[in-house]
Amino acid sequence: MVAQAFVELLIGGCIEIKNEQKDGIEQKLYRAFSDIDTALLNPVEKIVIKCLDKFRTFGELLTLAGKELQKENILSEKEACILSPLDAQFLEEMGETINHALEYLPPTCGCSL
Amino acid sequence: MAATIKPSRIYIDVTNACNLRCRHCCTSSGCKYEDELGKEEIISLIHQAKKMGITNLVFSGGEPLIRKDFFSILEYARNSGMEVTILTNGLLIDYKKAKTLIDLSVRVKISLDGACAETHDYLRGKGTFERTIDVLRLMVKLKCETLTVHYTVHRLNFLELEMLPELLRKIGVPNLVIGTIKPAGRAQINSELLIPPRMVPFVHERVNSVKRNAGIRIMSFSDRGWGEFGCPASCNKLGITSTGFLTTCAFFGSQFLGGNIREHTLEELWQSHLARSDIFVANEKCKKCPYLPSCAGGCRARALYYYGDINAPDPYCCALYNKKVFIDENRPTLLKALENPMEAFS
Repeated sequence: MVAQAFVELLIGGCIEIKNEQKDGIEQKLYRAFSDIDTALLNPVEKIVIKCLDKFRTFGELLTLAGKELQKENILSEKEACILSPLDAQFLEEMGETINHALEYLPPTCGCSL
Repeated sequence: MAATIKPSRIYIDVTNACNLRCRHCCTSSGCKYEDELGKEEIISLIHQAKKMGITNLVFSGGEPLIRKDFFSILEYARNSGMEVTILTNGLLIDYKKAKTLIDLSVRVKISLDGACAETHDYLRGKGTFERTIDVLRLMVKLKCETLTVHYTVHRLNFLELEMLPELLRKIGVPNLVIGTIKPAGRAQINSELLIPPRMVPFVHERVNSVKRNAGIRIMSFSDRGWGEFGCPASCNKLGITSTGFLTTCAFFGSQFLGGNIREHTLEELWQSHLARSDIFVANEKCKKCPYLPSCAGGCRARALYYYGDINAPDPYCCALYNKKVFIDENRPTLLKALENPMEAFS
């Protein structure tokens, strides 16, 4: 859930990326753009955007978003376990989105998205 | 070159009258104009279109079914061999009209702008959702294979898009078109409905996902222009307003109306449109864009709305190009994420 929302928001241009050196290792940090129109987001996406109010690592996002989802009763504790990044469902959800993104071609007609 | 270009489709607004006052209506329809085209004038128009080789005719409005003589016009169009589509809110369709539409093999495109009453009714008026659903059920019961729901995505119904295919499958609607709200007519006044260009890549991602998983036939727009611009209004479609003026796209303002069918033949109107030099000239930004061969300029009405210039870039187009750039730049990360997202995104 969070993974898919993160990837869709990332590919959808709602999240910026910054590379930073920490202890000699380069890491990616993510932050939501400040002008995101949250009226277009579902509850999980809203939480992802809320959690990315400042630059955070992917791991930090997963932990924080998981807590928020439970707090707002969007996910039960059991469901929140799916947030493990090596979980099969995690990979499946995100994989579909990524696979389609990799084949992305912009539309050729302006009348429709 | 221009003289040999022929349109393949004609839109005829048979009236400006409408039984609804939708907040996003691109033609701000409502009341009938005094000088609307009469039945004989519309029939002459269809005859001329046929002679020009146009095979595809779309009746729009206003609400076309509000005209008392509409079915005789429809019958003439079908008998002349035209493929005919009507764009309607559906609310005036009863059993008899439904039967006639099906017997005439007309493509019936009915607007549904929400997956629940609250959203649809907010846009179109109280009680319209239930009545529209009833009409869809009637058309399905009568086995209307061309029945198509047109869902115009806007800012307030976007989140319901994912629920729509299931609703339509339950009713039995065979076809769906997903369009996007345009900054034209009353949608310009109700601008809270417009999707900000900033969010277009995200919205596009979701629309594609819904299309992939819809389980219902998705009818796509395949309009495409020639040359540098993809806007079909430049070359392969034309429209006639209810008072007879040439308009190449309903989303353009009145300043882009051409001559009138009462004073010129349809062929003359078309040629004069092609000869216009003030529209459809590629701007410098688009000319430099590597994506131009693909997007071909996008929507001119959006360019006009956002930049006040019909030849400006389409901001939706630019946003979608940026999405492509982002994906290309981050391709290694995305590929890696398919196997180990933690490592890829860290």
